Amino acid sequence: MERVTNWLTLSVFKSLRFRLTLWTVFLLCLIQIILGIVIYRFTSAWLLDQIDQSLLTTAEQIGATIQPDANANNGEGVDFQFQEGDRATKAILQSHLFFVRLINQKTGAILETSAPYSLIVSDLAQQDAPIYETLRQTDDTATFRVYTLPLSSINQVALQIGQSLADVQQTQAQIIRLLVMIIVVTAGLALITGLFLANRALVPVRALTNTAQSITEKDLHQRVSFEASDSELHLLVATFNGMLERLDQAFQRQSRFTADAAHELRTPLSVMQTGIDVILSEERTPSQYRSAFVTIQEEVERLTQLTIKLLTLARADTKQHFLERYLLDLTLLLNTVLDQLTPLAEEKGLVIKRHLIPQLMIVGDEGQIIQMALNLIENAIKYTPSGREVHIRLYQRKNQACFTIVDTGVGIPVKHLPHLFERFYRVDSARNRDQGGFGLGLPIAQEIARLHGGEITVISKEGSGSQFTVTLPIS
Amino acid sequence: MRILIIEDETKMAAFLKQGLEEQRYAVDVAHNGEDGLHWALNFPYDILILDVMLPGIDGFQLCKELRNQSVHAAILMLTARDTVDDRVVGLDCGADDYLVKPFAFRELLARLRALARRDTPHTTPVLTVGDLSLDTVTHTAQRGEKHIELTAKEYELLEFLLLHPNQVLSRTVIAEHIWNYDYSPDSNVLDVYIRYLRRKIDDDYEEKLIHTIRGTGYQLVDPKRV
Repeated sequence: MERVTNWLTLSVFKSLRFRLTLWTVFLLCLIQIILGIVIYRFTSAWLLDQIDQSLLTTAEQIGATIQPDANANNGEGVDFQFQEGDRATKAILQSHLFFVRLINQKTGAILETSAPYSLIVSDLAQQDAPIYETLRQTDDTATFRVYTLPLSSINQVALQIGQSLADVQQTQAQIIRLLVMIIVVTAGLALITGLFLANRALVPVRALTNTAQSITEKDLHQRVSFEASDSELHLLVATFNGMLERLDQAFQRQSRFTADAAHELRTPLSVMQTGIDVILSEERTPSQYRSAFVTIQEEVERLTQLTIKLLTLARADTKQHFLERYLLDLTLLLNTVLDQLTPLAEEKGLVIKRHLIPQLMIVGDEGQIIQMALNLIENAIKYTPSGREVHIRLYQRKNQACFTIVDTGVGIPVKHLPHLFERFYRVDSARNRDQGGFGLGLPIAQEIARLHGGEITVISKEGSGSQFTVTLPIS
Repeated sequence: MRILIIEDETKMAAFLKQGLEEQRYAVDVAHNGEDGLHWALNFPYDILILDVMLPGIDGFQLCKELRNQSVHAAILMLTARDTVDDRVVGLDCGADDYLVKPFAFRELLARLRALARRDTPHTTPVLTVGDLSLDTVTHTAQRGEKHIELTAKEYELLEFLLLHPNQVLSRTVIAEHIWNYDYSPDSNVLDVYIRYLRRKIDDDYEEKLIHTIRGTGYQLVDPKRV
């Protein structure tokens, strides 16, 4: 038998738990990255906004201090100076992180500057409205946030105040480092705990796998324990166990049937073999040979009967049974069967009483229906002592034909009733074997009833008789 | 050698009885477990042939019951059930051998011969005491170089004596083992058969094997042991 790959030796990348965990980790990372981007963007914008606000305040303060020269109209030769008034302005003017300058908006020429930074003047600065820009130093060593404020007092001259973004960039880099670290650490933790949890959650699956692997057709009594399972897996385990139970029962039934069939087939065979062995061991007289042949003939007949019955059952099992479907007059059919059996009943001193409604029509296989009726009525005759009665009733109930056989015999002990339709089941093995029964008559009758969409049921009272009821659908 | 067949299938039992009697066994038949138990407890059978599927008490139960009641006869189970479990249960119930139906009659005979010499000094189907030997397969006897023709009853008698060498056997015991229930002669008949047997195996020889134990019965003496 080809063994399934062991659950544990399964390639780790193909395993369900690994893929589950990987997906979880992937989703977690994705969410964190998106969240990180949002946080980064928000923080950056906030930082820039802070800078912008402080630039605006400072620019307005400084701008107010600039006084135009009376001669200067075009912004050329403007004479002005930054008033180092308050402390803040002074600090700004002295810091290398800041610069303040005046530009000619038309030409872009720098008229005055507080720091030796060579920042280009962008086109945007030539507009009349105040504007914020982020500019790079020409040697690309630093980035500045620049606020351009056109001066109302001097035509075409604008005040530009800039703050280095070095601090902001440092903060941004720190945020990125922190976010990356958080993502890496949580992803790692998620991977480890995810694998651990998936492992734990899949413990019942492993138990299921191990059990399934150790099960063979001879060893179906094993079950998976419920200990480690919960919710959906509990249901799976229960379903699996239920399936095993049904298989187990089916196998047991099958092996019992096979053993019984083998026993029944072997009994006549062994009589024949022993008889032949003994008869052939010496020279015999013709009458001895004849008597041996008679015995062997009886056993052959017994084997033939058994074979026919087993074939009938086998065909019913595989649904191969080719049922002829004709409209049948059940009343007429039962009367024929009863006429046929009357001599048998009379010989035994029994009275068969018929209570049949006329012309009850069903659809079915005539031969099969006769076989079923014969089996049931013969049984009734067999188990009813002489001098008593057997009642046969046929009536209609709703859309069903009901056919009951009521005997007044010894009845069937309650413990046998559930097994009565089991193959080879005998209520009393001694009595039945003497009368040539195999314990197949009732199972065959039941199969025939089922093939016709009906059923046979039995009620019995020990000491007062049994009642078999056949229900068949009416056409 | 006396055998009880416990078998409910009457035809099977009849064939077995006929075949075994032709092989010079004394055979009784019981058709159900209760009768079988009664017979086995009341008569000194050497071997019981026991069918498992019996009405009433089944073969396994019967076997256990017989062993509980100290029946020492060899038990050979015959059954149409052939699973390992069945065989194990059968043997563990106290059976000595197990044969699955249908079987070859020759095999049954061989197994019966093996069971018959189970508690005896003999290890082969040729039973030997001194220079006397009896082949239980071909039913021929020989003393020294001389072949001896035996009738069926003489054979049974000699076989029984050979299976119990050096034992003092009472007339009743001998009679019970070589005749079945249907034919129980008085002990004089046994004396007649002993006389016939002596004429064939002892009279011409210096060394006598069959000894009369006055007031008790007979003894087949192995000259090497005395």
